[in-house]
Amino acid sequence: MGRHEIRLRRNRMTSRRMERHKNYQDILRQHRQHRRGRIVKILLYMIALLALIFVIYFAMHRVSESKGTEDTRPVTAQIISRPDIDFSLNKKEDGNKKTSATGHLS
Amino acid sequence: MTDEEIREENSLVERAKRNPEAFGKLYDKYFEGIFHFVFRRTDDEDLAGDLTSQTFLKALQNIRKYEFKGLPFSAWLYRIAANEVNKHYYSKKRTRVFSLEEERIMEIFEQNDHQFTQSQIDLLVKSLNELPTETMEVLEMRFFEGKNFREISYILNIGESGAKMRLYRAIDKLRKNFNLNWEE
Repeated sequence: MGRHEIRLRRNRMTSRRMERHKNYQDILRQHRQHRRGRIVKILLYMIALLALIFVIYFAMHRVSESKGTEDTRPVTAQIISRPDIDFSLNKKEDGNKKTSATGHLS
Repeated sequence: MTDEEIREENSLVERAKRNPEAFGKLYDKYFEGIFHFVFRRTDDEDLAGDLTSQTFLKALQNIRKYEFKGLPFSAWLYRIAANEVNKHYYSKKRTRVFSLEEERIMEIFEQNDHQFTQSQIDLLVKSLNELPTETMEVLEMRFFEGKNFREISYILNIGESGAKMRLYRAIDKLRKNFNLNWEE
């Protein structure tokens, strides 16, 4: 259901009157303008997407680079490598089997 | 429109898909029909001109998406036009208008001008006003645009049986007061 209004009209719309509203060239112009706008929009999206890919690529590259420069030796070896400290590795006897490192200045 | 004419027209549509200039022939062919249709639903000449232009612009922008379904190309244009009119009323929140030619009304209701009294005209307007808008749409498409039910169902995006049901109910109501000159 909806509401509407019925109007009766005596005169028919004539072709001459309708001709006033006919303008195909204007429609073509609007169509071309719209198409150009769409192409620009697609280009902008593509540029934004490429920029995003580059940012992600360089971010990942930097992360992998920084990982590569980190010392890859085991942690215990890194600690022991200080010559002025006497380190000894002991296994804890309290049952949780964790390894502890204690150091004494020599 | 015969099947042959519809197929011929479709080859023109295929050309228009590749070349917007070819769309001009379809524009010339259907401009008046679409304008009449929109004008009947707005009763405003300038608005009808704007909405008609908008209809053809949308058609041109989306012609690549058009699929031939055995119906005249005009059915697709009418569908776009009906959507444009709906959008207009939805955004403006105005009461819908059906502006009908008295001359055509006389033909449908089998009356001559001098036989149609003012009270009968008032009764007719009242009866049409009481019909649901969806029914009025079907009635207008069938009686004033001369569309068949297949086209009406496509244009209004409803089932064919639904379109028939709406129209028959409207005719039943109108036949109580008027002598309707219509057969399926």
